[in-house]
Amino acid sequence: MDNQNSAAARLIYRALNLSATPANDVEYRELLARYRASPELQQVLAQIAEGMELMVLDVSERGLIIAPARKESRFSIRLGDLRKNLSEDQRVALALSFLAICAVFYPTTALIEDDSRFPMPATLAMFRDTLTGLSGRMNALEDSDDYSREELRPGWSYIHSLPTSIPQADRASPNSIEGLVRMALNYLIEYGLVNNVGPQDEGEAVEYTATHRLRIQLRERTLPRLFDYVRSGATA
Amino acid sequence: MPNEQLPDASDSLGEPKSELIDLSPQLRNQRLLEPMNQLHATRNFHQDEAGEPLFDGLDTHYLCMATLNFMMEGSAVGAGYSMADVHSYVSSLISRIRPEKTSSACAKAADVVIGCLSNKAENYKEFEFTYFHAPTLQTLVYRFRLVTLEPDLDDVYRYRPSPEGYLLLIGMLNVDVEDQQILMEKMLQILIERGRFEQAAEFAKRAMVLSIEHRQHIHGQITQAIRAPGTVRWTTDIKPRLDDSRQHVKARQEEEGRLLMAIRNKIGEVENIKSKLELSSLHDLLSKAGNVRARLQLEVSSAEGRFIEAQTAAFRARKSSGIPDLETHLLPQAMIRPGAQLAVAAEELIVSLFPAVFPKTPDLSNLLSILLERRQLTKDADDDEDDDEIEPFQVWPDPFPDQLVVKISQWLSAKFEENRSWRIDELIDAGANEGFSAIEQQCIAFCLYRSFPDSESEFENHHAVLDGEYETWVVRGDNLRFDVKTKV
Repeated sequence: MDNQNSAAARLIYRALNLSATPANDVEYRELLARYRASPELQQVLAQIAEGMELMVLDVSERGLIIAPARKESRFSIRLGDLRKNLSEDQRVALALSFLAICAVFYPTTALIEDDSRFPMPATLAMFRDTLTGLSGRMNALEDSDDYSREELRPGWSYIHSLPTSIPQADRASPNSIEGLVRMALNYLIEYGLVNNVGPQDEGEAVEYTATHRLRIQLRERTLPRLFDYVRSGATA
Repeated sequence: MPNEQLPDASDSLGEPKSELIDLSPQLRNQRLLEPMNQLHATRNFHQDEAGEPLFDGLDTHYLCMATLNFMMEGSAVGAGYSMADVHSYVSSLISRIRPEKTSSACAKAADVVIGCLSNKAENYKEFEFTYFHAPTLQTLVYRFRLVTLEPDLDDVYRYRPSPEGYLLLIGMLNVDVEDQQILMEKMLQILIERGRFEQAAEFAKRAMVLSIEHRQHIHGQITQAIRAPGTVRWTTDIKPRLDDSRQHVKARQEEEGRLLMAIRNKIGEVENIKSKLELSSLHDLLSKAGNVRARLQLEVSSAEGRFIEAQTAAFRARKSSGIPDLETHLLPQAMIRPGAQLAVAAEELIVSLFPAVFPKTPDLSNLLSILLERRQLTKDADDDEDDDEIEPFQVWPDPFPDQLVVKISQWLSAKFEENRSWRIDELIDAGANEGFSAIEQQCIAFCLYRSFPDSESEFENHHAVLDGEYETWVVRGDNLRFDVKTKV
């Protein structure tokens, strides 16, 4: 039993390390194989995870993916860990930038749920154009730009009001659409959700690929939350 | 009710009332000039390197309109002019108007003009003005841009007038908004008529750009089909596009054939070598456009097969959660929700995307290593600072100048020589009785607080201890009692 406890704890430790992959860690591979074969180990790990306010999202040969069980968990990041002092509008714009990046990688739910298919690499321009395209189309459909009550202004209108990019801006900042997308991409790369694969040829744009972790986080957590949120708005 | 006293135009003239008395759109359109008016009003604040007024002898309204016109010309014959093109045009325009200006002054003025059109002062946000909307009797906010800076297919950023920018230009020309398209076509014709071969080359370039755009569009459709076969319907989404493409290719090839024939005939006719060279380069350009179309034709003809392949791959057993697609449903639906509501859900949505991470512990060794770390500024580095302009550090004047402190210290020393205990409130009262001003009374408190620790105290024979609180009309806080030290 002690052996199981120690194996479960070691596996959780590996899962919390964003840079650890079973591909280059023999012990991690062995622990995963044991976990998948032993219902006892699965139970022990689930109990330890529960005690630590963690939850198992997915187990495969690509690794164990665990997530904080609650927003308040000590293992959960806070928005302030990413960026402090964001205004309400900027918070909305950043959330939409994250979702636009996910939408470019995983346009359909079927693709998210099919582990055998992989998303195509994408460029910063594709993420940016998804946001500008959607907000532009929504603006074109809008009868009038006049909102007598500012709190009724829809989320896309702030995106639409931002410049596509700021001339000669080197740093990612929330003051332009491109800056927002770059900010979001930097965070996703930092937390092992997106990889930067560099340009294929000289002069070509940098390409980004989604990691397995992004698929799982999106499938198990973000997408159901977003669906609930959208549905609650539709019924309200 | 003032509104009731308005004459009812519909009754008296038999015309729709709103058409006659609703001046709101005109009022709104008039606001489009506001950014230029602001530049005009503040033109004397801008100075060149020598400290001379930057816009001396220059009409800022003309410069802004000419810049907008240049951008419109660029978007009529191509994908728009690049940032460098626009800057050099404005700079050379200023130099032509005022030849005595240095090139750096011209460049600086051009920066200001372009910055004015793109709202650089507000960090490139939309312009925002209010106007009165008569039908609803409300003052509404009008947000607009005059120019847009967007990337073309090669990701080169190009300036184009926004719809409001066009409206402003067309308003200057007294042409209806509905005739915008006709105006563009007319301008294109005029451009072609002005210089034959050069303009014809521009036209050919435009045709090539159109072909590239078209090819890119088809490419995008196919890519979309591969990414998400379930979201594309062949008969309604792709087939009409491909049919259009086939027609486009056919029409262009016919026109190209006629043009090439005409050019070849012309080369035989003209005797001027320069004209021959120009015609020859035009011939090459048209041939290049032909290559683009050939690739488009290839893409169109292979599109069907590639789509079927992608669709076949999409047939598979899957676990279905029944959640709608992110790109076509969830994201657009989230975007139309009011921003204030979305802001509440934004944090949870963002946080849910991130994995479990080790909590950041404020450990002393971590803290030291963070403090000792030498930060490197990389191009993509994310920083809490925005791209705002650097504001000068504001220096606040010292409320207690040295002279005042010396005066009060001397007065206090005299008091402390009486060899008795003193409290702050007693000394402030004593000062007030001697006619000290408010600032002098505050300075008494300042000097006494400064002497709280024995190591800093000006009064060697006294030791300060806390003694409740006090409040006077100039200062309040913890009271200090200065007791005479007992000699050991």
